[in-house]
Amino acid sequence: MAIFFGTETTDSLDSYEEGSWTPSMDGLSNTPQYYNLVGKYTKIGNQVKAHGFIQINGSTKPQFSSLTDIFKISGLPFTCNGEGYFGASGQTKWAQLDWRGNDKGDYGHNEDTVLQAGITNSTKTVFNTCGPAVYYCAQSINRAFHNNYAWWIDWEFWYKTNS
Amino acid sequence: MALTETTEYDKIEIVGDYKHVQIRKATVIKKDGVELTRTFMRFVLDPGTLDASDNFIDNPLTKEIDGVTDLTDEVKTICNAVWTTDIKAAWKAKLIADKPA
Repeated sequence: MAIFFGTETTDSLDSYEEGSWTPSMDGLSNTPQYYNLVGKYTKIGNQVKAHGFIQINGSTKPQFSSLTDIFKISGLPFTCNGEGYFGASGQTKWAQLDWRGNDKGDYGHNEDTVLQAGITNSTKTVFNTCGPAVYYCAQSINRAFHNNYAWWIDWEFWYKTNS
Repeated sequence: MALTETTEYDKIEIVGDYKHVQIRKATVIKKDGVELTRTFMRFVLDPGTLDASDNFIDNPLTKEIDGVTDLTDEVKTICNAVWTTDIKAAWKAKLIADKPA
């Protein structure tokens, strides 16, 4: 089914689809257990709305090979062809990430840190951090997610795709 | 009455400058041979990644994004056909360019 705007066929939205995707953390050195691991999408024309939700089960927390690598999540349902550095816009909620302590606080983050999801490398979800006492944004790294607490992160964003 | 459930890759697309292979996996439920529902799960394969020294590591093309399900020979053949040396070199250059300063 196509949805038409105006009278020109070039104005049609001939693509609508809903489905699921599997968020998958890059750089793991173990196999974590999850309370929730959810990915859903809706595609309308060349616009994709993706929702991801990862909640860790405290019995086996994620461990990463490198704590300083950028925290990335693979698995998006469509490639990103958006503008700007991170090609997507939306919102993120989280709890129990570990920003505190001498080995965690290089960027001055704390529990009021704001995370903003974006996309890099066409298909990798990343999370930019911003917070008080922070004068620039940076991509969150693995150590905030490493072997600490039963954290969760819940995000959704819109992005433009190639197809 | 017979209900059946099958899965199939019902759409395999090659998209973008770096020939990402975009795959739609359908789960189809039929009643007495007549399709009742079709639901979709998607993932995308890229040509490879960088290691810590920026060496290019080819996509091993072993598992789907769930880390459990084997990729089919059809998908592997398509990936190997489109991921030429030039494409891999271009993708490697993009990955390096995308790294944070």
